[in-house]
Amino acid sequence: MNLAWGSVHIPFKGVLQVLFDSDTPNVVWSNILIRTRLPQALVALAAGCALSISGLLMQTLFRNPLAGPSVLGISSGASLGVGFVVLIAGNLFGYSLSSVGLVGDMAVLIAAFVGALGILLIILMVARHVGGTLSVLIMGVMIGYLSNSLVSIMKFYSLEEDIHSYVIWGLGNFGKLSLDRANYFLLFTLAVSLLSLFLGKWLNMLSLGDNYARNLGLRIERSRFLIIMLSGVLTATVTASCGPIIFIGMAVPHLAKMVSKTSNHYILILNSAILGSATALLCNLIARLPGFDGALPINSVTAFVGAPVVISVIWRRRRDQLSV
Amino acid sequence: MKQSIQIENLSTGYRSSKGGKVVAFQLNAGLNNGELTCLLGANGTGKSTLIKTISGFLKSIEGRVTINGSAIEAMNEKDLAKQVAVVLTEKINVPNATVYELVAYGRSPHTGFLGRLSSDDKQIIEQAIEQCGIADKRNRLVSSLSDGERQKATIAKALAQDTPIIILDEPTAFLDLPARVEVMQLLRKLAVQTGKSILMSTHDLDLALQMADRLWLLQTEAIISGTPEDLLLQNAFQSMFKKDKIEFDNKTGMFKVAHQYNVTVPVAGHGFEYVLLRRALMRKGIKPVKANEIEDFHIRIINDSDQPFEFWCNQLKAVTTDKVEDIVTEIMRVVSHQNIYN
Repeated sequence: MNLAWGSVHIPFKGVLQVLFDSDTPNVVWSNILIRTRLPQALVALAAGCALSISGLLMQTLFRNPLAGPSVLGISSGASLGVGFVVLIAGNLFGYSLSSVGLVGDMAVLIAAFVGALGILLIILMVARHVGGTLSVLIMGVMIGYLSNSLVSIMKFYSLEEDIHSYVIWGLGNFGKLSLDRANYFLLFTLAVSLLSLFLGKWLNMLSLGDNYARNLGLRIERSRFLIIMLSGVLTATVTASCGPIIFIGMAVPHLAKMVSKTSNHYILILNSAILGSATALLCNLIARLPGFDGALPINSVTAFVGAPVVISVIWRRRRDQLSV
Repeated sequence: MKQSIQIENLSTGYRSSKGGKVVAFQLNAGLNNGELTCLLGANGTGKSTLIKTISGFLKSIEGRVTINGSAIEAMNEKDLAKQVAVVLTEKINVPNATVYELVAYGRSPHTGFLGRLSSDDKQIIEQAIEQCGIADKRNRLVSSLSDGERQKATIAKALAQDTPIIILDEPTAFLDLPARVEVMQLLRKLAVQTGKSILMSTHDLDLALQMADRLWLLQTEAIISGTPEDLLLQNAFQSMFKKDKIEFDNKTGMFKVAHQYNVTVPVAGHGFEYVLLRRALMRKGIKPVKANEIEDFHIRIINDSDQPFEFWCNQLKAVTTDKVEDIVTEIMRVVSHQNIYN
C-alpha cells in the first residue's frame, strides 16, 4: 500500500511487476517506486521500529509512561546540530546552505548526527556520575530546553530562507534517503534494535524499581548506561536521517503494552518493533493519501495518530486509580 | 542455633561530601536460621537505615555485617542477591505485570543472560506462590490486587529468590489488622517451614510480642536482642519508649496513654463495667480511686444489672443509668460545680 498510493496512482500489479520483474512495463512507475516510494517505505519501517524500541527503553528506565526517545534531549541535540549548520552557515558564508543541494544534505545529516551524539555523550557522563535515575531524566529535559533556546537565538539572527528550510527539516521526512542509504539505514537500525533484546532481563528487573533491581543482583549503573546508549544511538540515527519524528516513540510502547498483557520486555520489545514499523508506515501512508497534492509533513500525521493514544493511556490510568 | 547474619560494632548512617550523618552507633546482634525476628524502634532510631545497611543498599560507617560467614562488603551484587531477598516499603508498580510474572522476576539472580526460566525455576515459582496462598490470583494483574494481596505477592517474589535470608521493611504498614496478622503468620510459617532467617521491621509492638521468635529493640547506641518474654522480664520496653505522654504496661504488653489528672472520684465496684468507666474517666482527666461508703459523693457499679452505673450524692442515689456517657457527664457537672465553690 505504501508503494501503491501517492499522488501518482500505481496499481498493485504494477508494483509487483516493478519489484520482481526485470523488464519493466512502465518506466515512470519504476522510477517513482525505486527512487522515491521504496526507500521511503524502508526508512519509515526502520525508523518506526527504532523509535518505538527507544521509547520503550526510556519508559521502563524512567518508569514514566510519558517518556519517549526525546526525553534525553538527543533529538534536540540533533536539531541544534542542524540549526548550527543551516542557520549559522548561511550567516557566515553569505549564502544559504539549503540551496546548495546534495552537499548541503550531507552536511545536515552529519550535523544532526554529531549534535545528537554530542548530547548523548553528555547524558552518558551524567548518568555515570549522578546517582539517581530521576536526575538523569531532569538533566536530559534541561539539556533539551537549552538546545532549543540556542536554536531560537540562532533563528533570530538568520536568513529567512534558512529558517524555512530548518522548519521543514523539523517537520520530519522519511523520504530524504536514496535507496542505497535507506538499505544501510534499515540494516543498522534493525541490528541495533536486535541488540536491545539482550537488555530484556535487565529491563524486567528495572521495572520493579532501582532498589528491587539491585537486590536481584543487577548493577544499576552499568545497565542504565547501556540502555541509555542503545536508546540514544537509535534516536540519533533516526533523527539525523528523518528529522525529529515525534509521538511514535511515546505512543507505540503503550500500544505494545495494550496488545499483550505482559510486563515481559522480550515480548514488549518485539511488539514495539512490529507495531512501530506498522504505525510509521501508516503515518507515511496517510501523509501521502491520494487526493492530497504532494505530501503532508510526517510530524503532523504522527501527532494525529499518537496524541489520541497518549490521551487514552492517561484516561485509563486515571480510571484505574479511581477504581482501586 | 546457626546464625545467618551477624552484625558487629556496626554504625549505620549516610555518607555525603560534608561528612554525612551517623544514625546509630556500635550495634551488635545476630539473626538465627528458622526464626522470625522483628526489629522495633521509635521513629528516627534508624530502623530503615539499619535494614538498608544489612541488605547491602548502604555502606556501613563502621563495623561489620557478616552473612553466612562472609563480609557483606566483599560480596558482589550477584552473590548478595543469592543471600538476601528484600521486601521494601516502596510500592511495586509494574504496568501490566501479572502475579506470576512478578514472582518469576525473583528468579533473576539464578537465570542466565536472557532470563529464561528452567523447569526447576518454574517449580520454585509455583511453590512460592502456593506457600504465600495466592495461587488463585496467579494470573491477576498486580495493579488490581488489594494491598494485602500485593504484599503477599511481593513476599512470594522474595521467596522465589531462594535466599537463606529475607529482610522486610515494614511489611505490615498500610494494612488493616486482619491483613497484618495474616502477613505475620505467613512470615512465621515460612521461617519455620523453610528454615530461613526472616527479619522485619514493624511498629506493631503487640503483634511482634505475640508472633516473633526474637526481637531487636533498636536504640541509638545499642540493639537489645532477645525473646519477647525475656525482654518483658528485663523491662526493656519502658526505657525504650519512655516519653511523657505514654506508658508501657508490662503486664499486658500494651501501651497506655498517660493522662494528666486534675481530680479524683471515688468509685466502688469492679468488673468489665468498671474497666470501661475507668477508661472514660481517665480520658477526661478524672482519676478513679477506691470509694469509702461515707464519701460525699461516689459512684457505685452494680454488675449484671440493667442499669449498672449509680451516682450517689450525700448518701442519696442521684442518677442511675446504663450509659457510661451519662454518668461521666454527671460527674463532670458536679466536679466543675465543686471547683467553683472551693
